[in-house]
Amino acid sequence: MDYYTAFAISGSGMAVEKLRLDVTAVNIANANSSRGADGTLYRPLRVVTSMRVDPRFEDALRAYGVPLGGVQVDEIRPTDAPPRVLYEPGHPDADDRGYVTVPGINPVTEMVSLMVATRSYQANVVALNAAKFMAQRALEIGGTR
Amino acid sequence: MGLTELTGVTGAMLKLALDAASVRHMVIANNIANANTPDFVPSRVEFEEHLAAAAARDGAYGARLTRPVSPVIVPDPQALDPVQARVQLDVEVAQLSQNTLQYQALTRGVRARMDMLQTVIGGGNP
Repeated sequence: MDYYTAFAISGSGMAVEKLRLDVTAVNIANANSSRGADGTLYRPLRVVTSMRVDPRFEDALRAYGVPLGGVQVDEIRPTDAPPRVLYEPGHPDADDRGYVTVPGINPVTEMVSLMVATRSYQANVVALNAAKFMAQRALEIGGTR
Repeated sequence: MGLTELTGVTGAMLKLALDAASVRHMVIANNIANANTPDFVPSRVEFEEHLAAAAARDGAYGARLTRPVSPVIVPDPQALDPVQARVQLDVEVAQLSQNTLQYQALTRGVRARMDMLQTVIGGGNP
């Protein structure tokens, strides 16, 4: 068994879920930012992934007709959630009527993303540990008791 | 003399089944890694049915299978149902555990086979 393929597949899944967690953390951190980095208002970000076709796994592709390459990040895309408007006169960024515009970040959505990323990461760790266990069992073939 | 000559049909079957279990592991790991990928259809491995068909054709305890049996990766048949067309993490992890146990049982089998050979080589002396 080519264990490095199995490790790489689970590793790609863990990396993607960690990125999802990072992006969710950035969204929550900017929930009340009235200014964006480039002058425009911050928009909540979403990680978009697709199945990876890695040239390193061409053997698996040739042998079974399916590219078992794990997962990859296509883009981190801002969503079109409408911004929230808060009444806060005296705020430096308040408009003439005293309203401040902040990103349309829904804490419930972000918390759900957080949970999904955490659980998916755990599942990838389980798969990685299973591969490790199988490799150990394979090494015991022909060994002494 | 290859390993197959030494270990006979049991050894050949064990090797096939170990290969299938390792492929199945990679397929399940790939499904889990793509659990949140949009439009991803989980894959499944078909092996046991092909082995049974080959055994029915060539005789279950025939010395050799006339054609090699290899695992086939197919899209999950249940994924044709649009409601089911998503990776279900609990199902995947359950199948992963089952596959890992199966692999462990197979390595035990290989080892028992090796121990029998060891006995023969030693002329029956412990």
